[in-house]
Amino acid sequence: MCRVQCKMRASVATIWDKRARLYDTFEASDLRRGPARELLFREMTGKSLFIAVGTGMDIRHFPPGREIVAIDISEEMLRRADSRRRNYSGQLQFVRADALKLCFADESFDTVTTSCTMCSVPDPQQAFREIHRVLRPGGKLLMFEHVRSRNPILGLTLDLMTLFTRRNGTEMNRRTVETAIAVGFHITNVETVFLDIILAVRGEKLSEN
Amino acid sequence: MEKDTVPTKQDGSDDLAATARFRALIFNCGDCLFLIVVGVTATWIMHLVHHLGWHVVFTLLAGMTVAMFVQMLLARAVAPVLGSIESMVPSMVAAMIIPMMVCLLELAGVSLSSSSALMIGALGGGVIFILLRLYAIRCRKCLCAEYNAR
Repeated sequence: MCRVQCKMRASVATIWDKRARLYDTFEASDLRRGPARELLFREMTGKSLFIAVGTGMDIRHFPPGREIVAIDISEEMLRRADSRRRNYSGQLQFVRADALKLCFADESFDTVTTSCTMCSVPDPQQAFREIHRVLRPGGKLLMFEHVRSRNPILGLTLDLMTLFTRRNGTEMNRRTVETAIAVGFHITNVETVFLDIILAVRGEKLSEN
Repeated sequence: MEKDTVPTKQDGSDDLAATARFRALIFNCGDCLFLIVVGVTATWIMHLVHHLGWHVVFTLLAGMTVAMFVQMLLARAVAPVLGSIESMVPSMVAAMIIPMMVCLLELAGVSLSSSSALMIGALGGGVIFILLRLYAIRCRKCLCAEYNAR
């Protein structure tokens, strides 16, 4: 089982190492999505974990002066993001890590943020379980994610697209908000960024009492 | 399709809100124009395939396949500006639906000229843009009511 998981993680890392070269040009779409990202990321407070930092396109939208740990599974992505990390006016640390097996202690973060992450992890439920584990009770979950549309035609289009994008490590038709709720997060706010496909989602890990 | 990105002003982010509004306007124009281009291209392709005189099923399949392939190339080309998902998803819907209109008209015995086929494509692209825009407004309200009241 572990061997299979290790192999899967290695293949995910390889895919993203390859995609790193053209990622900024074709997929980051910062011009359009930038303001919505910035508004969401402003809510990062306390010690924050940013999952899947990629080439660091999101770093320019991080609020200044924060303490942030950013992870990515791809070494190449982190290498490309390094110059952007140096320009950040706060404490920003990079760690090469897998979202499915976070190398951090339980309840060690006040905020966990994702940006187009849940479309790319092989097991989103496990990723959410890990986020739930490392987030302190009452901690914030901020997600900028694309999901399957509820509209039948758009949903079918996203299903069709997934047939092509899956081999590049991206699933276009995931129900990320529902998965977060199923794992135990309380969703407090959902804003549409593009139709009901790209969403800015705010949630929290409920305190036990 | 972009107004939904316009942020609220509650955290004193007036500049960001103004930037977002201005960009939303520009991107809406870009989306509309792009869908019109895709609509025109898709109907033109289907119109050309019809001229080959194949059976209607083969015509439909071949026309839609080529139209969708070209649409993917176009969407890829504009993705750095309009956004990857923002360009690919609506244009794929346009490339699937609009060429069917040409086929339906041909089946109904209407012989389309090249210019009228192109007009149908442009109109189809515009209509899809408006429908998606309305859907975006509806989504914003529905999701707001569903989650934000909790």
